[in-house]
Amino acid sequence: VSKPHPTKSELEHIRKIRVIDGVVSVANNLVRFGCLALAFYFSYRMVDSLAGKETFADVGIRMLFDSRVLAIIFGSGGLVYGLAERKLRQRTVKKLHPRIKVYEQLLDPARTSSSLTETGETNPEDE
Amino acid sequence: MALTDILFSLIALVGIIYLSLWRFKQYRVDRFRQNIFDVRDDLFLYAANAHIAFDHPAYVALRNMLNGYIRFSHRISLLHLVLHSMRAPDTSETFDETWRVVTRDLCDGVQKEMNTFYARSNAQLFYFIFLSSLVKKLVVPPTLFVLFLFSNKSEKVAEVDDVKPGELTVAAYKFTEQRSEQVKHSIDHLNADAFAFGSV
Repeated sequence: VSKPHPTKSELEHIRKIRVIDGVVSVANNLVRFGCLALAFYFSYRMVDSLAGKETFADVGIRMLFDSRVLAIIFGSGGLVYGLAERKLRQRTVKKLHPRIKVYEQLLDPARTSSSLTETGETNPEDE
Repeated sequence: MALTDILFSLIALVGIIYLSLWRFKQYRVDRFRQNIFDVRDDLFLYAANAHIAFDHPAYVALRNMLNGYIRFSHRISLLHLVLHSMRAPDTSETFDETWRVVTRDLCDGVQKEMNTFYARSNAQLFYFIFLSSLVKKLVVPPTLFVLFLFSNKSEKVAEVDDVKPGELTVAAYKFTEQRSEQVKHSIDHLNADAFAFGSV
């Protein structure tokens, strides 16, 4: 069955959405690559200050971008991201697994279980 | 500061930017998708338990809208919402109107339950757009809290009574929707788009 052709107003609506998508995409990339450009710019300023051309602003930047502080932020950011992804995966397992169980039991009523928890973790009784 | 320090700083900075503007953004989209999948699964089970037919217009409309969100959630953001609200008013009907029409013939209990699914979906969208990032979390909840403190007493009691445990997002969405026509209409426009694209 062929799809009906979109009407003029539908096409106009899609065009508007495409324009909005384009604007958002440009804005997103400006923010992303602008931040990266700033990071490289501040690093360049720090190299400059190494050469003896140091200003008060450079001292401030140096303190703000202390590699240890940044390493802590980077490390904890990665940790939070990892934990959040793990929680999301556990939630997905918890949601999807009961269905698989139901369908498998339809084919095999004597189906046995690994006895992991509903989120796919080791059963506390087995620890 | 040695040159190695500068190099480490630069690497860490690029890493932080990558984590926050690429990875966390993707994570928020995945989380929103999962939340909408949850609503869709519950809706499916509700229909599977014979409360509503799978081909009832209300079920089809809501499922199509949820499908639209699952499919295009990577193209939804606060900036999208702002730009949507700035565009000229659409002459086509909104999803709220469609929803009212398709749920008209349902009996009270089923209608109430279907409205709950719809409200859950709106609340998830609200959370995704207004609360899902750290910056938004620092700005939006305190603002809502201050507005809540300054709202009149009878409204406050009614709203607090209505909140169920674990449904703070739904409460925050309802609170905002009642006070901001702009937010309400913008979310309705997004719903209409999701419904249209989810039906394709």
